[in-house]
Amino acid sequence: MRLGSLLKVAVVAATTVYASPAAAHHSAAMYDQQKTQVLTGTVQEFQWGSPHVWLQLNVQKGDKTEAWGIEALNPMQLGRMGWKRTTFKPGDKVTVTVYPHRDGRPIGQFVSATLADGSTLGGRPPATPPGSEKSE
Amino acid sequence: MSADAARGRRSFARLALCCLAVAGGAAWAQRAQSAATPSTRNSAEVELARRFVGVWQPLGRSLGLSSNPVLTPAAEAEVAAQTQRLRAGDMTADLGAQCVPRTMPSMTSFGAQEILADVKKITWIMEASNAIRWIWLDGRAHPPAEEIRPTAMGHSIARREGDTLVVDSVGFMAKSRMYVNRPLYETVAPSEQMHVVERMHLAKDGRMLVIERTVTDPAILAQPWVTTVRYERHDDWEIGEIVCEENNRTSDY
Repeated sequence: MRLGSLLKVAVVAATTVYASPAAAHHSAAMYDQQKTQVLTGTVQEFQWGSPHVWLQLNVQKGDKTEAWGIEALNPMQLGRMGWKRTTFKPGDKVTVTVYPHRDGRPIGQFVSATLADGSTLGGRPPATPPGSEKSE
Repeated sequence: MSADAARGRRSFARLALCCLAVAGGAAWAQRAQSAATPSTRNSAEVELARRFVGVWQPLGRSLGLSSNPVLTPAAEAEVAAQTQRLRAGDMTADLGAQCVPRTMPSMTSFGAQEILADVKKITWIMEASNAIRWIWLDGRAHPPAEEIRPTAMGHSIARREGDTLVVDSVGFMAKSRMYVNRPLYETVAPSEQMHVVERMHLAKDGRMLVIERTVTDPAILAQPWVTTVRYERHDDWEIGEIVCEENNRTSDY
């Protein structure tokens, strides 16, 4: 991600004070949102589609490679946060923080990432400030 | 004149009479239809509906449901069975995640919504579900119950009460699913008796839309369910396509 795009993300984040929580089409109960896991690996594939975007990441673990699937929101919501179809490219070396699956299988819910150029990327809109949705 | 020519003239005359009769009948039918068709002139409802035009992002929790419904014992039992399966990791019990059509009230408070209005209806696009609904502003009534085709979003008509648009919807499809505001996204099926009344008004100088939804359905709700949602205006956003079936990887969970 280039600096301009990063600035755009920052501006969107700063101006969307009352942004809503994510609209997911399923419960996130399978992910342990009390725990984060940091994965460093190489991008195998970036699936820029709906209902959810998926990042396929190969993570070296000792002499084995683990194939991770990382689920994020949808292209429309992520696009409003500055993501693009080209945000992750096959071969990119990236570090991704996820909420891991509760049963230990190699899938997780996207929290944030450090991209190949060192820039950082969020993928979860800021929560609605408590009570703001009730004011008129 | 030969006998053949005379027969030809008589046939032509009969044909011409037939054409006149058909044309006259069509004109009469058209007049009758236009008399029965509700007005398409700008009405008080249209004037109010145009104020709601824009892109709206619901505030609050993901499904935009501000309260919990009181379910009938049968519906409660269905939800409890789903909860048990979902807790055991059986995602096939999450029918929303399986891309089954979903219905009110959460459908209009789940992800960005675009409201459009023309001279006789609101067209309402629900981005996160790639769904659409129409609210008639031209004074028509609902079709008779025996003629209505049940749909996921129902048949909607509106009337104006001051600055509030009151939208009345019936004709919901029993194959759709209603989120009941539980943590694992449990759902129940509405019956064809479901009735939804939405009261829509603007707040904060038009920057906020507030909708109070009252849902009744004797088959699944033990009492009327009132749930309110507030939206923030985002007219700078562009709405796009989100299709559940495109890359649904529910089986990976």
